[in-house]
Amino acid sequence: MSEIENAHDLPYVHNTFSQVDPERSPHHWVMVIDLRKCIGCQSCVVACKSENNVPVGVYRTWVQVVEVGQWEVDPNGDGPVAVEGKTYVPSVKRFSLPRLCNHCDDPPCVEVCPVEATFKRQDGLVLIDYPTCIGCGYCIQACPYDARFFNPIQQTADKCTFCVQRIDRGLLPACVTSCVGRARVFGDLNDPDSEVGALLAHYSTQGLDIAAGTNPQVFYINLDGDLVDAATAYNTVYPYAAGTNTNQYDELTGRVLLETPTGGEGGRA
Amino acid sequence: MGGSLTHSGLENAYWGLMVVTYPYISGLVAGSFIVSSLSHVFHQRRFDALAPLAVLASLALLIAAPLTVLGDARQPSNALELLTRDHLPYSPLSMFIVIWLTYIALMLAELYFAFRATNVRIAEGTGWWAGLHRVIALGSSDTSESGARRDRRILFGLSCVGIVLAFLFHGYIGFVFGATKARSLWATPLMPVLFIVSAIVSGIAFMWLVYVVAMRYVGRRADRVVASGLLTYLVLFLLLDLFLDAIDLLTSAVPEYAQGSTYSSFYHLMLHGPFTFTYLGVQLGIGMVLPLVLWLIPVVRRSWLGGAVISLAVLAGVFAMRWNVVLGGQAESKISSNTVVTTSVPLTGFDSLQTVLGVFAVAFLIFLLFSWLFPWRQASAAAPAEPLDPGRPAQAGAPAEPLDQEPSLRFGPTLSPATSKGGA
Repeated sequence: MSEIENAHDLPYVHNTFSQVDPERSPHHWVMVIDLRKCIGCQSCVVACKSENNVPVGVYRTWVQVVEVGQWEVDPNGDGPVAVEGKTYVPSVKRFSLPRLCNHCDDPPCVEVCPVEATFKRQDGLVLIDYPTCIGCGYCIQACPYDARFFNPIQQTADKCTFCVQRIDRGLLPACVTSCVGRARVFGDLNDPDSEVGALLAHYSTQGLDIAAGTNPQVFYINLDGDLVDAATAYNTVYPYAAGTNTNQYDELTGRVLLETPTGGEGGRA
Repeated sequence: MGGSLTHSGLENAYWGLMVVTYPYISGLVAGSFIVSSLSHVFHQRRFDALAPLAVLASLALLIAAPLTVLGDARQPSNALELLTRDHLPYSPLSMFIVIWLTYIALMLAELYFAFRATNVRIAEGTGWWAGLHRVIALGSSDTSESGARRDRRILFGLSCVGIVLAFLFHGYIGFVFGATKARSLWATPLMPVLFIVSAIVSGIAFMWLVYVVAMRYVGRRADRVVASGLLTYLVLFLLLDLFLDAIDLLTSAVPEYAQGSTYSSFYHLMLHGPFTFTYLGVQLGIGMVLPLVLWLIPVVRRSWLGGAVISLAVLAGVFAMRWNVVLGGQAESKISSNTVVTTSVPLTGFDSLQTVLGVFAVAFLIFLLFSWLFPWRQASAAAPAEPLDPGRPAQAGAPAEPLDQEPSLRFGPTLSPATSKGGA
């Protein structure tokens, strides 16, 4: 369990994040993810695991595969899914949504840590001082993106660091270098000539769960409402059907809900 | 809109049974302290005999309460970081160490003054038992009436501060959940109030049971005035709790009033889901409606068995409330709609039933130790209350048992059936 690196001795902030002055900070690291270019190959997930030695069963970044659309009643009555006398056919599309810690500008995880073990560095990174962590799990509860987890080996909270050990040496994060479609772009928002600056200037971008007021610093291009709906809690939760394997008609939303297996030890894929 | 996720198992509920038990135990602490303050602050003289017992029970549980969260933490050896680099006042959890240490200090002071006169009288005797109590009495030898009056004044002041601390101690736990905006079932300003009121409810029910059982153990009949008085307070706070739960229901279970995420989680978890039994059945049904209905029947209300059933039902309901908040809130998925984060409670090992029973066992041992050191029977008998047993009137101010006698540790009732049977 090694302490987090801070090669340039940047100040740490624990409390009120307006203390982070973007003018005086040497960098403001952000990530832009262009969803039009993500092909769902999961190589970023593999690269992250390899670079950061992330244990089996937990993930610092993961690519969520989201099915968008509806199951519609088949007028002929021979759709693949039959519920209550009707049959349904899928009218759905699949999207990939790469996710990681959003390195929020107002991170609730940092605010709630009882021992100041996690902090925001002046250049925008939200990091953890592992030897200090008491493992209470409050930061994990407070993160709206489920970006934090308990590292099963070192038994502390853990999360994406934007590959701090690489960017302090002038390298890109592992997930960015391995992205085959160049969907992940990393850079310095303080630098007007950076690629992220250009992307943010040219495209309309969206953040995940911006209603939470966390000010996320991972920006998505082409993140539409259907995706957000399916990839946040702001939708219906799956009706509990332990031991059954039947598709259900949800009276609340008028949708057919497919049985999906739940549980398991944090298998993100 | 939206769709169903094609995979899941993305999330884990990291807070388990130990975190369910933590607010439960600290609720009993706060509630039993409020019971002791009925005598110390609100001068309800009929509860004087109960106050020493309530102080002992409250302190024992207070010492044991942090063991639950310590057992839940992944790095318990780092717990002392709370003293050296506490994130005050930004983190709701950072309030713990401040409030808890202050509360411990206050309870020890309260313990000293509640038992000072009794300890001084024991210290007048001879032998190691008297010597021990000379130490516990911290050299005080004042047995005068003015000294007792001063004790009561100090207890009044301490208890006033203690009530504030009891509210803070439990209110901060409610705020730990209420401040977590990532979980829509937790993020409600009602949380601290709900926790405090249900804490008082559970504390009164707990003290009813402790009082009746403890009185039987020492062979005195529990006083009907005390027991029925406690039940009356229990019902009053239960009505307040019911009112708060009604507000919670209105703002969670009615789609037109509730946030979309709150409503959908509440609908699929609490109303038609894995927590329906513990919420509608145990928390509301057994924990609130059943006790209120039973209390309305005079025969049941006046019987010992009826009182015990009411108290046990209330305790079960409050535990279910903690269960539904802690585990129910985590069952709601953060990042993938149409899934439930399932949890299971292991029987042994980390965060299990075994560890929870262990914490209660530690609390019970501490209670036994304190009740042996601080003879609450004599302190209760010395209190100017109504006679504890109509058949055997105890003179006010006179100890019911010889004080210079060394304690006999009795494990089991040694008294005749006539005195140990309460009867309905």
